[in-house]
Amino acid sequence: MSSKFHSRGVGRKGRIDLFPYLLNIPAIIVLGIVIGVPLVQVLIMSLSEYSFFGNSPFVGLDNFIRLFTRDRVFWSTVRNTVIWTFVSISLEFTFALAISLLMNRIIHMKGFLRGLVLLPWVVPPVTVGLIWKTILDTDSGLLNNILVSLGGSKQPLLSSPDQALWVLIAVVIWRYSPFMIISLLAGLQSIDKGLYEVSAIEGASPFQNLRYITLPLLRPVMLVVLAQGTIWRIGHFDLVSMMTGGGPAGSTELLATLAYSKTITELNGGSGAAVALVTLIITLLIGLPIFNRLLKERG
Amino acid sequence: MIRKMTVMLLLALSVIGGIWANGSNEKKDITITMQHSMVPPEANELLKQFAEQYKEETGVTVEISYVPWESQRATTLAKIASGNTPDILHGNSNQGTAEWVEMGAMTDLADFISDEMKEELIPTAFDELGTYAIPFLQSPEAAIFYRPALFEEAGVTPPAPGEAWTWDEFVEAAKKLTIDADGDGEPEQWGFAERGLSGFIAMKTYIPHLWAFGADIIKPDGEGGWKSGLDEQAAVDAIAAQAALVTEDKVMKPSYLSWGLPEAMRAWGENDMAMFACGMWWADSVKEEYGHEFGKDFDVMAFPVSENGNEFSFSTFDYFTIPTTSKNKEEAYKFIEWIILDPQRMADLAVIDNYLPPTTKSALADPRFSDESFPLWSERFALWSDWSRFMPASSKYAGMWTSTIIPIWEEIVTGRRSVEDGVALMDSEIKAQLGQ
Amino acid sequence: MNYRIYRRIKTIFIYAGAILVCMLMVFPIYWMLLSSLRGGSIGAGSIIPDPESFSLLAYKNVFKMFPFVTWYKNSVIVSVSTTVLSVFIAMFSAYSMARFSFRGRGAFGLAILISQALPTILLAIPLFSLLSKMGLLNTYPGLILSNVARALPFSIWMLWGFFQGIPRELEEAAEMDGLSRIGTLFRIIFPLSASGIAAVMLFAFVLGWEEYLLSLMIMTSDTMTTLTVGAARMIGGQSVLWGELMAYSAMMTIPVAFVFVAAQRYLVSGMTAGAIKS
Repeated sequence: MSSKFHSRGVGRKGRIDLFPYLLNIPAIIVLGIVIGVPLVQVLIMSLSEYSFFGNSPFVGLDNFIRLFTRDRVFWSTVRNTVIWTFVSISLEFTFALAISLLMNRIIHMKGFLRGLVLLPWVVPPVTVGLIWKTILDTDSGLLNNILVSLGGSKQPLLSSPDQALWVLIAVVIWRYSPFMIISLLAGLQSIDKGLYEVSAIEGASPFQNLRYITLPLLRPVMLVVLAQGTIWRIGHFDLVSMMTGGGPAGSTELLATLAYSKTITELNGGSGAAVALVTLIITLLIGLPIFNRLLKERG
Repeated sequence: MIRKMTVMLLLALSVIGGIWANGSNEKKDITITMQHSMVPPEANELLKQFAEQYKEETGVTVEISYVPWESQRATTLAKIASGNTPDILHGNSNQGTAEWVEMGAMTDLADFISDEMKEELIPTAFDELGTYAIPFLQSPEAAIFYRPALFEEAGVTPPAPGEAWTWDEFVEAAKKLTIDADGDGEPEQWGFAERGLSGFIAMKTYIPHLWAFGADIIKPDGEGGWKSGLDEQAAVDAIAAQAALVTEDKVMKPSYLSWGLPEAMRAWGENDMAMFACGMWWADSVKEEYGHEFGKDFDVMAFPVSENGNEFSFSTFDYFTIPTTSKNKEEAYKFIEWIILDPQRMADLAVIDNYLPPTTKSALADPRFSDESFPLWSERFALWSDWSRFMPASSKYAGMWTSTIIPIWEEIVTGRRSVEDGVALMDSEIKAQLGQ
Repeated sequence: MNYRIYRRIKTIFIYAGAILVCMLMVFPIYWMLLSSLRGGSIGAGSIIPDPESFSLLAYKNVFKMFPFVTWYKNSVIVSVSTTVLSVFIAMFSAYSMARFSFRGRGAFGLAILISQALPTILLAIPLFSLLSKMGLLNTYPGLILSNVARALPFSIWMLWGFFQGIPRELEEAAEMDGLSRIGTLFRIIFPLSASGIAAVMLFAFVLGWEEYLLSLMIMTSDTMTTLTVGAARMIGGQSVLWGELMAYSAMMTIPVAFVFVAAQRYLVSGMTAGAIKS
């Protein structure tokens, strides 16, 4: 392994190879400033009785303890977030994979269709919330109108604590699946077409192609897309905040919306920071295993 | 290798340098900054005009910036925390101005407020926040809008302008006004509706119910502090009555839980409900959106009261405040006074923002507020301001309550939790927050 | 004979399926467009367009009521800068992660992971203070820097994923030809992962384009506001300026899709041809 492409950071003569470190300097600067410094402050916030103006006395782990033992909504929020994340990501991934496989076979209007698929992601957040709220309106919304005309009955949808979370899951899948679809498409595209030619000569079926060529080669992208999607989904805020604000009756309260309401609405920055750190830890717990996998595979 | 390193270093340095180079922004003239949240774009224009005129008269530059209400709280908090605040803030009873004051983040303007100002402002101006904030608009709340035509059809007589129904009379009327013509269990017309439960607005929707029964969320404890008002029977009765509107009397649509004003506006237009609880400021919106005429298409009545309830109304205010971290407090105050003491400017501002009554006597005398088509202000409001009270403690703790009390209240009203249980739980929450 | 028909039916199904899905995805946007042309409240309208009732009034109003062009300019500047900077920086880092095993690789990866794990609002409050002290509030660099920090983690991840898919033999061959490591990055890896890079550029752009909270906090004056924040102005406490909001949103959304489609063809065409069989 003497190539400089398999460098372990130590050159043949034992000198430290600075190159990989240099490559990372810009990222470290940016992340250090924008995320690093505030993160330290959030940590401090979580350990204090935070006041936006004036003193914030240190209280140790008080905020966390209160959160875990006395907070009325914390555990249900965690539950909501877990359900929300896993259900929506699984469904979204399956959907996106199917769509991208489908779209990869298309030759005409390829670019146009991809442009179309992109649209849900690019509509401004405020508008998305509003449009869907209107479509899903209990009384005069389009969805209920269709249901009724098909012989069903009006569903409370967003005004029911039982249905709201599931409805929101559907909306969030609509909104963010373009990310997965386009990523998977990009991955599919970089698979060498020649491989399929070879397998065609050997008489392989489409299913075999999928199983032995496509999916294995797509695996790195699939993993990254799943991991990234999950991380984003755990910390999701925008749509839920705009459409239900965590209600009704806390049924759509997620960790990010809880952090927001504790900090901004209740003025309890310490508790909000504690929720934020819990979110961070949960995200790490889920992201780390996948991440370690990626780390080990190559490099 | 060295070349590569140099390139990297230069890249890094240029990023840093670019950032740093943007650091300096010296201002030589006095500039004060004002953040407002008045919704109509015309209001923004008007304020900018004020700024221009002010600059001509005094040479002081005023920079106007707008922040929508939904994000006003978050952005203002971030500014307060950073010490970099505008010189003038536009706050509102609903948005927690009392909480800024409580934090010590707002300046006590007692030394700045001139006698002239004290003369001009209405008597109740300093009731809520003392001299920490100067109100410029008032919003009379806790009214019930009703449709005279629908009342006539159902044979219901509304209470006389100076009076209020009792709770029982109200429920009876609401039942008569709930009409299910095709008998499918879904009334086409509901007797009563009120706005959904989201954030601070929920407080305005819910508190009148408590007051109607003589209860309150917190009450003075007689020693200068506060105690929970929810451990009284009156509180249980009040909330039970409210829940009953949905579950037993069935005069209120269950889905109101997710209603905001736009949904209410639409429902109004479709004649979905005969009565709607809202602030009187809604009158202008209804007029604008549907051209409904006051007195003909809609009228306003007071919130009903029970035997041990008080007759009441309350107002919320729009305020100007000056943060403690402002470096131009005196100049900021002068600009505020310049606006407030001019009846024309005040009246213009008030008219643009939904015809909310201004807070100065001279501006209230503007013909636009005693216009034939708006007898609301002269008749109703004058009558009701006798009953007016504010929610001083309520606005002080509103933030906390919104997150902890309101969800429980929701559960009660949707029947997911019994009234006794729910009220007891809310009571313990309040006590916990009051440190009791 | 049978096989040809089978193939044709299969093709039809594939296209039909794709079109159906696109229709589903696009329906709310279709509605958005329709409402913008009707200019009124959505609820009452039917789904079928009635060309006679169309009017561009809402669009004109948007320009009249707000400094729309300024906001558009702001959004474009911020988003494009975010994209270019993010991808550039991410490329370097992804390359280091994919090809080198240096001490601190794991730590760096962890840092990237942590960077995305914090809810934005908690980040925004100290960040606001920090940017204020650095004099970057209400400036392009301030918002761009913040957006880049948001975009970097996933950009690095994704590019790393794409880079990994490229066989090392190519680089070793290049090394034997005397190409430097940076040269390899630009001449070999970059072209081969073009579709991945295009995807990442798109994502970074969308992130910058639709960022609400940071934009709201950092851009404090009217003239620097971005489109996402400006949109909130049409939502008043009582009513929504439906027509205008839909027109505004349409003008925000459609051009991005167009650019994406155009860029796609440019970036990806012909790049995957010429890959060596692995």
